[in-house]
Amino acid sequence: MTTTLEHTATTTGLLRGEWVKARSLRSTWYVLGGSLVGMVLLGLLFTSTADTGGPSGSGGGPPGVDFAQPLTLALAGYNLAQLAMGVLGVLLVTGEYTSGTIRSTFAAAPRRWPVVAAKAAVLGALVLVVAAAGALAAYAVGSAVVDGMPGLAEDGVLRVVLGTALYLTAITLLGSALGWLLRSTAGAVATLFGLVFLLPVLGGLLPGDWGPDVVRWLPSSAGGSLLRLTTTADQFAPWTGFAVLLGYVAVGLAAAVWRLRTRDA
Amino acid sequence: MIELQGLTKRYGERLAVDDVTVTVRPGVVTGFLGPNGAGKSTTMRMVLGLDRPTAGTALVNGRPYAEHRDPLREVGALLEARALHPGRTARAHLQALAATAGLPRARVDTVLELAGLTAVAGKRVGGFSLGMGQRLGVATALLGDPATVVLDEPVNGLDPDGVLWIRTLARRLAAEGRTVFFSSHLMAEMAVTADHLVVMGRGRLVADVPTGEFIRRAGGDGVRVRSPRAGELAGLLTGPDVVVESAERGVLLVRGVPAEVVGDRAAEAGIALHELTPVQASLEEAFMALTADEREYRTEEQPA
Ligand SMILES: Nc1ncnc2c1ncn2[C@@H]1O[C@H](COP(=O)(O)OP(=O)(O)OP(=O)(O)O)[C@@H](O)[C@H]1O
Ligand SMILES: [Mg+2]
Repeated sequence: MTTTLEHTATTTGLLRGEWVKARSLRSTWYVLGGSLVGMVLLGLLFTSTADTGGPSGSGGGPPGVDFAQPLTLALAGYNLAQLAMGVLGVLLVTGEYTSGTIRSTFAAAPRRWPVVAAKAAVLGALVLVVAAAGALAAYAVGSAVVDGMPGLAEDGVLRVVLGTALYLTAITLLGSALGWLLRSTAGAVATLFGLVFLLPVLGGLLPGDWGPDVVRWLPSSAGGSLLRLTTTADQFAPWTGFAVLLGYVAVGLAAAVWRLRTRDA
Repeated sequence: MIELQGLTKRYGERLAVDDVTVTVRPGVVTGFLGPNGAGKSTTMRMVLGLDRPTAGTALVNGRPYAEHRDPLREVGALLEARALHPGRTARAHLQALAATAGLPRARVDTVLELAGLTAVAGKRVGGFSLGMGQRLGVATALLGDPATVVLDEPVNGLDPDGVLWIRTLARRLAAEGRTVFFSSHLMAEMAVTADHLVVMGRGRLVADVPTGEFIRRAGGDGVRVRSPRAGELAGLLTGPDVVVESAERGVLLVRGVPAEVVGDRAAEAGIALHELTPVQASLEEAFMALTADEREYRTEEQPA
């Protein structure tokens, strides 16, 4: 009699449901399209002004943009794209809370973790594809504009280009975990920006002898290692750093599931 | 069938639902009444497995909601008005849920048709009127062709056409043998729609009775009499169960004596009657009388 919890809400059904939800909102396509275009255009801006030291002519630019490295210049748009994609990750979750559809969702699929997983899978796949296209396009455009762009076959180059897509996917999923945990768009977006942008800046103010040891553990610094051709002693090795970022994502999503199980919908 | 057993929900200090035991049966429309904050919505959320009971159980068709293989085929619910994403079309909203619940895609068009939304299925919900949103909510509730239908204030904000539509639908669903559990603030609506009433006040169960009995219990029926010699007539209508009130000069409200007896007594005494009307206590009056002590938000402030 008690064949417990064998639901017809199948994996494919859940994935299809989340896919319908994501694709049926215009904001999804605005964010993804905007990110793609932004990555290419910013890459073009930085590579085309590379000889003169960047758009301001001073060699300044977003943090992490090294004007001596054409590859980094071409992919510099990831900085802006992570904002947009992170917000998308938040919105696809908090939108369910602000609109109230979360109750229909959990009525249709009462178990919480498969819903969290399905949303993450659909969102992750969507962002991975778009971000990979954006990174490859930015790289191609940059190669055409600037001299001395390392070829894709060269050591670490493909890792950096596709790593950009992996990094953006991880940040998006971090946004979705924060969305589940905080349920409010403003709160989750502010927390995500704090983690990704503010903490590294604050970390820079820490004393030099132990500050870097703290900073490299931050999600964006750790994950950012994957986007560097060469890493310094202060930074994690590329894949180690990305694994740390994925660790944050995993902890965030696990915490989200735990919260959902103990809290009213 | 919905079975609540000792159902209790506490939010911090506040006991929103307090030890409620009641069974909502199939085949009839059960009205769920109670003043604001009585705990109706909270009870319904617990039935759907959305809020966790502090104590007690809520079973639907014999099991807790979340333990059903196909929960949307067991229970369909309209919980709050407009639990809809404004940026999504009506069809996409239903398609997403149908996919998630593993329901056949054809159900989407069936319920759109049933709710009269076929023509606007491709429109974004943000542009819907209150009534259209409510219709889509009802379509959502019926998506799984459920045996039990839970509707939280479905007529809220609807025009007379919409109210009639919900009433007809609720009665039809019950006639098909489904369990229909329907909350509303509109007592007059309940009087014509519901066969049975479950009344809550301040989290507690106040009444669980057939609609007719509910009205009788709280005051019963009476006779309105208008006569130039009303005072004299009142003197003739004495008896153990008889209550005579006078709302205005020359008008009596008599309870405990049938209209025929009032007429005969008046005729015997040669008293002219200008009106003799049997009156039914309204559901509003019955409801007010029953929940007088349980109402949380009264018109006059009462110190706790
Ligand atoms: N999530 C919550 N957190 C804290 N208190 C809550 C929550 N939900 C409901 N309550 C409280 O529980 C009580 C019952 O609320 P509920 O919404 O169930 O009443 P209701 O009968 O549906 O009222 P209404 O007729 O106004 O819809 C109220 O006092 C409400 O403030
Ligand atoms: Mg309510």
